[in-house]
Amino acid sequence: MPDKIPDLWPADFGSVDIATPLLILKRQATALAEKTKGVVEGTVHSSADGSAFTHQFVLVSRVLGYSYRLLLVRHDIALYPANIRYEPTEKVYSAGDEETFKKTLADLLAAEQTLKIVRALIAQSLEKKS
Amino acid sequence: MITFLLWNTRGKNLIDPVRRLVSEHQVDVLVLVEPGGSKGVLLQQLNSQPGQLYHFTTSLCESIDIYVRFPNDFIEAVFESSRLTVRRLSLPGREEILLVATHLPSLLYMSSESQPAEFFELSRTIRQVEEQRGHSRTIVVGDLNANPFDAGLVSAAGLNATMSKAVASRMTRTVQGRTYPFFYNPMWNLLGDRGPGPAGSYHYRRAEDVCYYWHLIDQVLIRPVLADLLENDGPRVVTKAQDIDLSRNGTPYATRFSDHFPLIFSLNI
Repeated sequence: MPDKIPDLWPADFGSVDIATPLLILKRQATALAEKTKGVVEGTVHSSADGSAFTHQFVLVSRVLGYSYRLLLVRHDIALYPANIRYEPTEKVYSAGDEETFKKTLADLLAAEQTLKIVRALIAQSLEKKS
Repeated sequence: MITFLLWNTRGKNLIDPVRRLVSEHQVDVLVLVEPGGSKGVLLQQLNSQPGQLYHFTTSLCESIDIYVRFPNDFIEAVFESSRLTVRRLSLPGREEILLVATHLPSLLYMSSESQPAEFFELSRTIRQVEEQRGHSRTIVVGDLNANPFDAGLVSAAGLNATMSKAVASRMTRTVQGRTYPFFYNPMWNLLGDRGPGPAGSYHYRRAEDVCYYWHLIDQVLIRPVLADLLENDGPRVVTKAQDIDLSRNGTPYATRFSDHFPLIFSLNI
């Protein structure tokens, strides 16, 4: 019989105080609904495919029955770096850490193309009669 | 507890009274029949108070709009047509219920002989959905364009809706060898002057022999398994939206608002 096999793990895993890309995106989805008083919502659809995690950030006007995918975020199990594909320009940005991810996201959400889409969704939703 | 508000607004832009009703009664599920005005503007108004976030629920049913005070993930359409939407409500930690919202054709455009067929079809659809979902925790709300005593509601092959909770608790009745599930129809309690509100939800008079004046065509029916969960003995007809009087001379103020009064009810789930 071998000797008792020891627990080889470290005593703990260190800090897990990490904001995942998914959590950050979900917060933006909620914030958008609050800012537009529910007229335009964000939704996040997530999937795992092999070693990659993919999150689609979608702008939704339920009044219009219309959805627009604004961002596609992919990362592996380590969370960062995360790649952000911005659909209006089809450009891909890489964020090496949480702070860079938040900064890049803030820039993209405030980009003129994003604002134009959100404004158009709000305007059409307000026009839409029953 | 979930509070529901049902109102046929007759295609009018009644955003302000709707907003007031929703705020006053802390409505969780708003069902508008023949909605009018801008859905987006109504949504903005419903969400004008901080901390409130109502959502519009997309639907294929043209004559009914539903707004909810919880995320859209918890309400899903399972059957829809132009006059009917069946949603499953699955709120966290609670058993799923089926919300059937409908606007059945008016007798102004359909003969009284044809009307029961609409109820037979509605009943068949409900039973099919219940079978698919594996339960009968079902509520029907809507403008049925028929009174609680009309054949389509009472007949076994129709909604089989009884005025008595005790009768409904038998769950089914068998006619000619066919078994039909009961609905409990609490609206009977609101007919005439014994109820807490007006004698009906809709007032209509015509110079002909039979004239009821008051009708209770806006209705809430509930399967017996949920009947005991109705708060305050069931639905009530509302005649005020905060300080706005929706009535004139005791009947719905049709020229300014709607010719229907709203209904409100709560379910203790």
